[in-house]
This record gives sequence, structure tokens and C-alpha cells, in this order.
Amino acid sequence: MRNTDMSTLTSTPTTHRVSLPHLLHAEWIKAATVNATRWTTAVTLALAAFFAGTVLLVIGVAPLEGEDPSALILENFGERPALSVLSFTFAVVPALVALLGLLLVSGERGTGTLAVTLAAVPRRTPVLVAKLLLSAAAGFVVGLLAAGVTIAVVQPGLAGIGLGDGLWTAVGAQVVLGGAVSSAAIAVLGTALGSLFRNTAGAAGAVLSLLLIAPVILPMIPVIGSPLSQVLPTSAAAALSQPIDTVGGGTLLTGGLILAAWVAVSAVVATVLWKRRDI
Amino acid sequence: MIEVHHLTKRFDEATAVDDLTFTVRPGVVTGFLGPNGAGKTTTMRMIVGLARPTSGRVTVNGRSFAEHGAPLDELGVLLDAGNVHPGRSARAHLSALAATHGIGRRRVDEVLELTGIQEVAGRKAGKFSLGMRQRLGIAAALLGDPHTLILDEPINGLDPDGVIWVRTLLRRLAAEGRTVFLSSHLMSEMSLTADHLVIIGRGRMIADAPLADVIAATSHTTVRVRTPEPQRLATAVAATPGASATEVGGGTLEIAGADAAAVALLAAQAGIHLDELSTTGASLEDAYLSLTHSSLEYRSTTGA
Repeated sequence: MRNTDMSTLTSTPTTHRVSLPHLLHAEWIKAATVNATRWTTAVTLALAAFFAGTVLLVIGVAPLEGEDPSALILENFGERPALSVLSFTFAVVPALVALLGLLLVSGERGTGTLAVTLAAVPRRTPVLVAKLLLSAAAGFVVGLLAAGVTIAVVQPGLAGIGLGDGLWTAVGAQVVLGGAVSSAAIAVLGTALGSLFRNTAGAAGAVLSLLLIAPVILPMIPVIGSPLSQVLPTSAAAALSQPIDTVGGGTLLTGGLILAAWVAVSAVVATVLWKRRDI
Repeated sequence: MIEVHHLTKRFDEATAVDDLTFTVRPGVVTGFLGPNGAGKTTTMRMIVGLARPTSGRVTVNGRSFAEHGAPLDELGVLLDAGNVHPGRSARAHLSALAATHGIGRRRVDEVLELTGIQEVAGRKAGKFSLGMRQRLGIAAALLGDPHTLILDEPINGLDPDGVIWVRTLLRRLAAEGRTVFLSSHLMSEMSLTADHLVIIGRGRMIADAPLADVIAATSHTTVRVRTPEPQRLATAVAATPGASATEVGGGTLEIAGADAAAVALLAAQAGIHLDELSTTGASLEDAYLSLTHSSLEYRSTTGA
């Protein structure tokens, strides 16, 4: 048993090197090999399917009540129901992709695995950069997938009652892409904020407070509450998945800038503290 | 080679590491010894860059650790075997770490085999015993085939087989010319594994010397002898270079600097009758305790 040890102690000379592609690969392995990330992704897509499914229910149930499903859909979802349903999807996606982004860092920090990683990459900053990039990619892809699930569920039904228009247009593409981009931004925000906390519970509490509780509480504050709630990341994210020909380019631009500011500030603060603090 | 220069770490009011300077050299196993809470882990965390020194600096193989392009090839680290995600398999844990340096799958298999955990590599680390986690931690430390190894209490939780395996492994790594630095709070373990000792207490340096020197300097073997003629024997002993005798009453002498055989010979030559002759030796453990006693943070005060 021990005979083989001598040969295996000394591996063949290679060109080991820390690089951003290597770190991205490492982060991908870590993300793909724990259940929490897989479940969060699955739940996100399942919820997208569930919300889309309720629209199908309306289409299916309305005739039994003697109502015209098209009229009901038009009344509830407007003239381009597919886009409205997508906007609903993208209202649900942020909290979940933020959780996904948070898990990319919190699971590692909370379990102490981060000490192992940073002892291997003592420069530290590239590790967080890799996490933020992976988070952006994961947020974007999950956003696209959620849109795909929504469309796959809802579009055949809508087309069946003659309301399938509006999706395969430039504005439809803008809604889907806008949603995916905002989903990427929110995921990065989740990772950046998550990196500030030593345990997953604290990180999740902070991120979900910002994304789920603040939008409810803030508008209750007199006078300043309402404008303040407009600069919340969820409000900004929601703007990006609104049809541009309905809300106007200005709304999208404002939303995009606010969201970019959230991402930039949180990423910079996270990087500074990541580099400086003891692990 | 690890060079520590005037390293200090303060947490708020407490000073965990106080102006430590030492060098860990290649080719030997260096033991880092001290009671729990002495600052061993904090020192190691500063060497690796996980904690920032309040002052002082550390180089690993000639450079600041973070300046190396492939840190895993320079320094393999096991700080806490519990530092694994319980839901991730041992293989995935190692693969992710290997990926940071572009280290291939073959090397992951090699270290799994080397540490004897290849059979359980697909199992979640959360299901591992502490001994298996120590092996996984050692596997991670060996991934980059590093010149230098830092291991914090690597034998904790290992079964006797595992302890011998670690000891053999570390000695062989040192024999290959690598720098091996391991901590322990157990003197007995160090006396079996280490060639050189760095002993600290309350963050301060107590000793930095070869194992043999530490033993020689701190363990006083004395010969106890009872004789009807203590005065004559004391005189005879005093005439022997390096030896000294103290009369402790009842015709008994305690002799330092000469072993029992030498004392017996001396008595025979002088025609002195001996009633009793015995050796009382302070063990290495006693030596360690006497070294670190004054520096213990918590001391049992129950009267013995």
C-alpha cells in the first residue's frame, strides 16, 4: 500500500497557475456540487411555470363559467398578455436569483471552506471577481430560462385563443433580455451583499429584507417613502422588463442606471472588505 | 522555507501573537508547540494570509505568500479539517481547489489515493469522521505538490494507524527537502515527529531550537543516593567535573551531572557503602510543562 506513495508524492512538472478562467472553473465546480444552488434554480423555474400556469387556468376554466377567455385575458393582462405574464415572472425571479447569488459565497464562508480557497489564492480579490462574474452569468441564464419556461407554458394557450401576438417582436425580445439582465444584476447584488456576512442566515436576512420587505415598508413612510422606493433594486429591475413602447425609454434608462449603481457600489464595498478582513 | 519577522497580532485588547521571529527551514520537520490558546493558529493564519498581522511580516519561499503565481505549489495548508462544505463530496472539494490552479483530475486522484480516501471520494464530506476529514485536509494540502507544508494539529482525531501514517508521511516529505511546519499542543507527539521545535506561550517565543537541545536544556536527570557517608560521597562527586551533589537530609544526596553508573563507580573507588541508588528523570512532557507553565492562559489551581 505504501509502495506507491513515493511516486505519487511528486507529480509530474506542470504549469499550475492561478488565473481568472481557472477561478471561474473552480467557482462553477463549487456552485454545481451543492444542493442549495440546484434547488434554488429549480424552485425559480418551478415558480415561473406556476405563475404562467395560472394564466392557462384562466383560459381553461373561463368557458366552463360561460365567459369568453379572450375577454378575460385581455381584461387582466392587456393586449399583449405574453409580455405581461413575463413581467410577472420577472417580478418573482429577483428574490430567488439573489438567493442563488448569495449562496455562491455564503455557503463557502459559513462552512469555513473560504479559508481553504483563500489560502490557495491569497490575493483574494480575483476569487470575489470570479464569484461576481459567475453570479452574473448564472443570474442571466436563470432569467432567460425562467422566461423560456414562462413562454413555453403560456404561449401555446394564448396562441390558441388568438392572443399570441406581441411576443416574437423586438419589444418581446427587449422584455426577455431586460428581465435576464436585471436578473443578472440582482444575482450580483446578492453575491456582493452575501460576501459581507459570516453566515448564510444573516446574509439571506439582509438580502431578502432589501428585496422583499423594503419594497413593502418604504412606501409607508410619508412624503419621502414613495420616491425612495423607486430607487430600490427591485423597482429598478422591474423597469427593465417593461415593454419599452409602453413605459418609454426613459424609464428603462433610469432603471438601468439605478441598478448599475447598486451593483457597482455593492461590488466595490464587497471587494474592499473582502480584501481587508480576516477570514 | 518560512521566515517570520517580528510578527504581532492584536485583537482589540488581547495580544494573540507578540513579536515572534523564527525561520522554518527545509529538510526537517519543525514542530510548533504551545498550550491551547498560545497563538499557534493565529500565527499560521498570518503566514497564509488569512489574518493580517498588526505588525511584522512573513515570507514563504523568499516572497510574500500572495506574490506567488501558483500558491498551492509553494505552500500546502491544513488549518482546520472542518473547513469543508458538508454537502459537497470529497472529490468535488478537491477538484474545485485544484481548478483554481488548473491542476488536473489525475493529481486529484493521486492525492485521494495517497491519503487513502479514494474509496469514499464520492461521499459527502459532512458524513466524514474527523479522521477522514483530516485525511481530506492533508490531500488538499498536497494538491500542488508544495515545497512547504503548514499543518495545524493534523493528528487530531486520527486513529493510531493514521497517526503513524501522518508521522511517516511528514518525515518523508521533509527528507525530500521540503519545509514541514506542524503545530501541536502535545509534546509527546512532537518528540516523535519533529526535528526542530518552536515553542510559544501566550503569543511569545519560549524556545526555538533542535529537539535534542530542548530536551537537554530542560530535562534534568538526577541521581538519588542514600549512604552512611554522605559527606565523603559529596566530596568525591564535587571533584568530578560537571557534577554536583546536594544533601537533602537523612543521608540522602541528589546528584546532577552524573548518571547512576558513574556515581556507583565513584562510590566503589572511594570504598563508600551505598544503601540506595536511583535515577529520577524529568520527562520531556515535564520539560514542556515547566517551559510553558508560566505562560499558560488558564491554569488549574486545584491544590494537588
